[in-house]
Amino acid sequence: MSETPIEDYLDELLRRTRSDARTTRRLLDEASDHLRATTADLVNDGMSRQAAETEAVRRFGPVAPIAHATSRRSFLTLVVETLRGALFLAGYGLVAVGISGLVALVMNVWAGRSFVGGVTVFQGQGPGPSVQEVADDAVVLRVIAGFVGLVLLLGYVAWRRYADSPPVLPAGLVDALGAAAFAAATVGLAIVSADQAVQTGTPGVGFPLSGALVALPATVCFCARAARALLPPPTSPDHAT
Amino acid sequence: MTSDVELMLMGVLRRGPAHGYAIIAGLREDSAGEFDLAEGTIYPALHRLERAGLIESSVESAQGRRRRTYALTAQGRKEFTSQRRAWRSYVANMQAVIA
Repeated sequence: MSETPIEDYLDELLRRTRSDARTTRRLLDEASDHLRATTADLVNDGMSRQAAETEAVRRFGPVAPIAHATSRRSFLTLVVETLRGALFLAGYGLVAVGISGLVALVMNVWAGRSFVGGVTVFQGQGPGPSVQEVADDAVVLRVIAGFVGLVLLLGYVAWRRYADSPPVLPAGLVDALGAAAFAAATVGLAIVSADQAVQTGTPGVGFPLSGALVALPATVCFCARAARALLPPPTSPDHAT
Repeated sequence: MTSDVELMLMGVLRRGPAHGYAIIAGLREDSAGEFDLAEGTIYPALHRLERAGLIESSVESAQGRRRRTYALTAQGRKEFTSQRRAWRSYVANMQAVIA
């Protein structure tokens, strides 16, 4: 027999309940109050405290049906939330691509078109596009992608504003996925840039490098968002003691 | 449309505001111990009723403890009356058939 049946029960209820913070907190408050009231009545009737707590928990019922009945998650809400998260990440990713196009534009101006457009991936495949064409496409196509991303982000914001619902995905999940995706992009593009530099020198390095330069701060940004959602806030000195 | 448990909860609350512990006691007493539900199951039902606007809740402090008290709203009273009528009609019809 547990020494603290009510505490154990409330811990289990907290672990199993899948609802928004307010509903969960309220359920725990009410469960705690109910269990302690039952215990007090049973102790008044002559039962030992530990036996009374055990009996109070038995009367309250198993955790699973209560947690299930409280749950506001359904398959549909999960799908909707996942789509919303995907929309956010896709929008952010495409905006990052657009910004990398602007970085490529700056590189074209400062380092010459061959820095971005001198890619070697077309070697051995017949006549490829010209350096100028690649350099310009790196700007124009990416900026167009960026505008598409902005539209997606606006759609995401409107969705949040006009059809908001209690969060059903774990806090920080979308941000952690974003951080992982951008970190992978940063590392991948940095490796391609280095490989390009080793093989051909500076021509073409700007093509992947412009992407890596944008993916890096995006990684930092998503890491910060994920950390804010996942890590407990630092204790202020006033409350430390 | 409410479930049977929700209708019973509204039935207890029509007599006046009560907190969860008193509601389950009232339910047991009214049914002469027949409806001995797992006590915890009433809270999700109460939350659903509140989200539907059929009951409302407020927090009260008594003997150093904070307790949430539930009360029927005007809409809840109307809904209860309507569902009670439907339930009585169902019972009467069943009785006529199986008697």
